[in-house]
Amino acid sequence: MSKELKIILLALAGIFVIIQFIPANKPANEPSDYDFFASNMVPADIELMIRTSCFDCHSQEVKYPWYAHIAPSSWLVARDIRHGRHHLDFSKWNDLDKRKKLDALDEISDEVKHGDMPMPIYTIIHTDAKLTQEQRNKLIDWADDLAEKVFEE
Amino acid sequence: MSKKLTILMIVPVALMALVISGFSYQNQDNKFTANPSDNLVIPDNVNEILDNKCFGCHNVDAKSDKAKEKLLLDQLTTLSKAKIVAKLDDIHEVVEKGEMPPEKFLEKFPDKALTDEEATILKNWAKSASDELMGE
Repeated sequence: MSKELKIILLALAGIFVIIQFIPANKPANEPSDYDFFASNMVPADIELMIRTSCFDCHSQEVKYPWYAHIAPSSWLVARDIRHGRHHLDFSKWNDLDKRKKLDALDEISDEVKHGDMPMPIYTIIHTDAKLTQEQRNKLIDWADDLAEKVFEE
Repeated sequence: MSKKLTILMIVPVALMALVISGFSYQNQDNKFTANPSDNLVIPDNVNEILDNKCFGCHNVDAKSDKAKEKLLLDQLTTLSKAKIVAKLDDIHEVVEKGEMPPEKFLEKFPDKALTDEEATILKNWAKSASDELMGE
């Protein structure tokens, strides 16, 4: 190995070690008694889809993968979860008023329809979170149906 | 008549025809009139603002996929009441925050900016129509 290459590799290793000390501030999971699926009588196949494809960013039941503990990927994971929960948190669904629930369900329907969710960067690694067109259609129909129910409440 | 003169006369006539047909094409195709529906009635003054300032991007044939994904005005009134509420809330929010029309777009088409009066009309309509649907 040339001297220059050694220096570059050492420097990179040094940077990698140093950034481990920059905290990612991963959002914690707040335990709650509220069960979104039971409360809204969500069918089992839809529940499985949401748990697999949405819950790692849109709930208080996030399962952190190993790379969530290592910088710089930990920063990305932390950021995505913060943003995800800000837009929609299934674990805190009941804190939303009727109007906010309708807004959220419309958003779910649109984002899933247009392939914006789950985020493509997420499904690269979490291949099981990928949704087929058939699954997408089911999820969209479910969200639209629940919106009707919420509206009639 | 000489050949040259004929060509000289045909060219401006053809150009005029092109320009006129171009204009009428735009007028016919880019006009927003909401589909009549029981779920949502869009008053004329609101329709005019939506037509002038929003419809160019928020219609099924528009170029911008992002704009189309968020809102299709030509389909708005035919959505379910539950969805119309959500869309009206979105309209109210983006106008309130000054996010629409987008800044980048306004750099090119400054005349598409909403005047204060237009913004107020849009917001009041979105809010009252949404409230009415919600029975509030």
